[in-house]
Formats: sequence, structure tokens, C-alpha cells
Amino acid sequence: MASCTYTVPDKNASGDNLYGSRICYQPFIDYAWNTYGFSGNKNYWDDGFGWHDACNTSKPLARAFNGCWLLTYSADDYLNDSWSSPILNWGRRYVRNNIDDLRSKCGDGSAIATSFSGFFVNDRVELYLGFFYSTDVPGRAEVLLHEARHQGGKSHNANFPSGSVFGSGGGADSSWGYNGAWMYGALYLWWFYAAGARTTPAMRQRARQRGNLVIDNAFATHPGFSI
Amino acid sequence: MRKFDTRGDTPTMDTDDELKVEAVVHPFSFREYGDQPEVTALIVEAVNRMSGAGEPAEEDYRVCIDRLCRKTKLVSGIIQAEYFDMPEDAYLDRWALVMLAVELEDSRSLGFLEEILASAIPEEKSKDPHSFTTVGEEVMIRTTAIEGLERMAANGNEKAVKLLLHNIGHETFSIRRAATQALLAIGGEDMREKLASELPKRHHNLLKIHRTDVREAEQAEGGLFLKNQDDAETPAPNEDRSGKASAG
Repeated sequence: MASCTYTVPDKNASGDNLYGSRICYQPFIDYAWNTYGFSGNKNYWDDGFGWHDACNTSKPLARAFNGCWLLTYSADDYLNDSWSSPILNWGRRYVRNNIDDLRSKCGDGSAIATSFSGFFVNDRVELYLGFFYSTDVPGRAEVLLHEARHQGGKSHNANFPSGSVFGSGGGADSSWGYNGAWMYGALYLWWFYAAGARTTPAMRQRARQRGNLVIDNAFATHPGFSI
Repeated sequence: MRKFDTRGDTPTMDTDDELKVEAVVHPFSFREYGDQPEVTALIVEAVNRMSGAGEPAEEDYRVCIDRLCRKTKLVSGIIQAEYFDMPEDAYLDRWALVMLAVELEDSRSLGFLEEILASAIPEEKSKDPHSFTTVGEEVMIRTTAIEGLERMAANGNEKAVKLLLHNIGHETFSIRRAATQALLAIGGEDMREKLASELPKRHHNLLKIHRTDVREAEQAEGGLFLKNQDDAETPAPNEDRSGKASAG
């Protein structure tokens, strides 16, 4: 068992304390716990991670719920999550359909999330401290979609372009049309910027900057557009 | 096809981790502005509301920005002092201060935005930049500064245009791409010709990148045209701001 410590501001731009009043609502917590892969994993969400304190946005569980809230309610017509609607609508459906085992861990300070899948592997997504404390709420939704795409069977298939902020070597997607994890995340942020509801212009701008960073740096062939 | 979970919450034999969280009120010091508690409190509130959620989030944020705009000179000074006083790894908080400066659209912030763009990007600190990249965080701070220049340039600020032109030669691709597109957005076809003459040939690919409406982009395949059958129970969002609830 690893032990970790984190110092977290009560008020800052991550958005967590304002999301807190949204997620602190029993019907939503029941819904999120049972549909986004938390259920069955109490062990991974207690011991300081928030299971006994689900509304406390200083704790990882509430911060994960915040990402789930954004995924659930950012489309103006949030009850429509048909596949023929924009990813802003069905992104949450894709996440809950593909991630059925979501765990929190300290991590080693490198990755913020990892998807495990394959033969003789317990399919799961692990979230580490960086997910809860270094990533804003739209960014957490992006990470969940990214990892859900991996759980859905789509791996990265190319090397990062020269000079990419994401490093070198494998881990990129060959193109936008490959429909990989980077495309899912960037497209979600793009829609959030263009049509995100129940948020602020600043968060939409944050989503735009992050979406453009992904478009510029995560595809072996630049898609030729930007947000 | 949805995966249905059959596990209960029975404690398992797996080892799990333990976390201790220490909370602080906010990340700012306001070292030089202790005599301005009302304004600094308003800045904290604006940064806080910047990422609000729910139906009133945008209005609450706008009201806060409007109040800050009444004291632009003082607020700009505090933002700048605070930005340079923050630890390098406070990426999100540094970004929030730049975003606040962008929202104020104050020409006194030009030097601040210029300094940010001129500052060298520190080398990557993350052991796994695929997952979290400190260089990426630094780039987003700078592309947000470009957004500030674009807004001022669109309002006729010539110095902002000059700064954007200077940054089309930035060493980082995303920053020169953002500067190029900001200029194209405010200058149209005349600007395209100017950029074609100013950009070195090796960077002419920037002119092939187009700012696009997401509705015109290739969409994700998802599970197109399948009927949704598993969402009947989604609760309406809670607009009550003082709820209590528990997990599990």
C-alpha cells in the first residue's frame, strides 16, 4: 500500500469547489457511482480518497464526480445521448459503456491515468493524483473519454510528430480519421468550447486551448484545422 | 454495448492506497497588496467563478469580471505581480491569472502578455508527458496570452498586432500557429498575403491550417445511429447549492 499527501487550495481555477454544490446531490451520486465504474471499488476510494466524504471537493472522489457531472450535463439537451448527436451529448455514454472498473491510486507522479486491458488482465482504469489535482474539470472529462477509448479497444498507432509537447516515440494517433483516443478527447473539448452549457466562457476557453494543444501535437499528421 | 458491473462493494483482498489531503484557502500570496483586501478578494472570487458550473455559472462569472473592470489599473497590477510570484508548477493558477488579464482587455496588460510570450519555456518536468506535460501547460498559458492579444488587436490596438506578428516566428509550433491564426482572424485575405511574405518558407504550412467550426469537422464514430437504451435514469442536475450526500 502506498501513502501520499497533497496540499489543495479551497478556491482556485480547477472549478472543484463550485462543482461541489452540483455533485452533492444524492440522486447524482448514486447515478455516478453506479454507472461510471466506481461501484465495487469502495476499497480504492476510501482511506482518504473520499468514500466517506463524497461532497468534499478537496478529496479525489468528489473531484472525479465533478468530471462525471461535466460529462453528464454539458450538452444543453443533456437527456439526448444518442450516437447521432454530437460527442458532447454521447461522450458520457461512451465512458460509462466502456469503463466499468475505475480506481484511484497515488501513482508515482508520472502518469495521471492508465488504462489496463487485454488477455489475462483485469480491464480497468486507474486514476492518479495528477488527475484530481493537476487537471481542470473539462480536462478530467477529456481524460475519461481518452481512457474509455482505450478500454473500447483503440490503441495509439503512431509516433508523435517532431517537437511534440507530448514527447517522442509511440503514443500518438496517425490521423484525426483514425478515431483514436486523442481525437475523442479533442473533439469533446472542441464541442465543449463551441456549445458547452452550464459552464463559463473561461472554461470554454480553457477547453479550446487544451483542444488545440492536442490537435497540434498528438497526431502524426496534423489534421489541418484548429479550434 | 454497455458493460454491466456485477461486483458489490464488499472489501476485497487487494491492497489499496492511502491519501492525506491538506487544504489551504487559495493559492495566492498578494504579498504587495495586503492593503487592498476588497480587490484581492474579488480576484480570488473571479478565479474561483471562472470554472463554475450550473445554470448561473456564466452570469455569476460575468458579474464578477464587470466589478473587476471598474478597477482595471489596480487589478492588472495585482494580477501581474501575483503571476510572477507564483511557483512555476502552479500551472492552472498561472493560467487563470492570464485568463483574467485577457478578460479585462486592458491595454496596460500588453507588456505583461509580451513578457509571458518572450519567456523561455522550461524543459519538460514530467516523467510521462504523454499523460501530463508541463511544457504543454506552459504552451497553453502562452496561447491564452495570444488570445488576449487577438482581442486587443480586433479592437484596433496596433501594438497588439505587432506583437502577434512577432510571435509568428515563435520557436514553439502551437504558439506560432495561434499567432498566425489570430492575425488571419482579424486581418482576412490581406493579412494572408502579408503573412505569406513574412513567414519563412518552412513555416508556410501554418497558412494551410484553418480555424474551423466543430460542426464542419469530421465527427467521431462513437456508435452512430444506434438507439440509446440505457439512459432512462439520468437525474436532472441539482440547482440547489447546499446539498448533502454520501457515496455508495
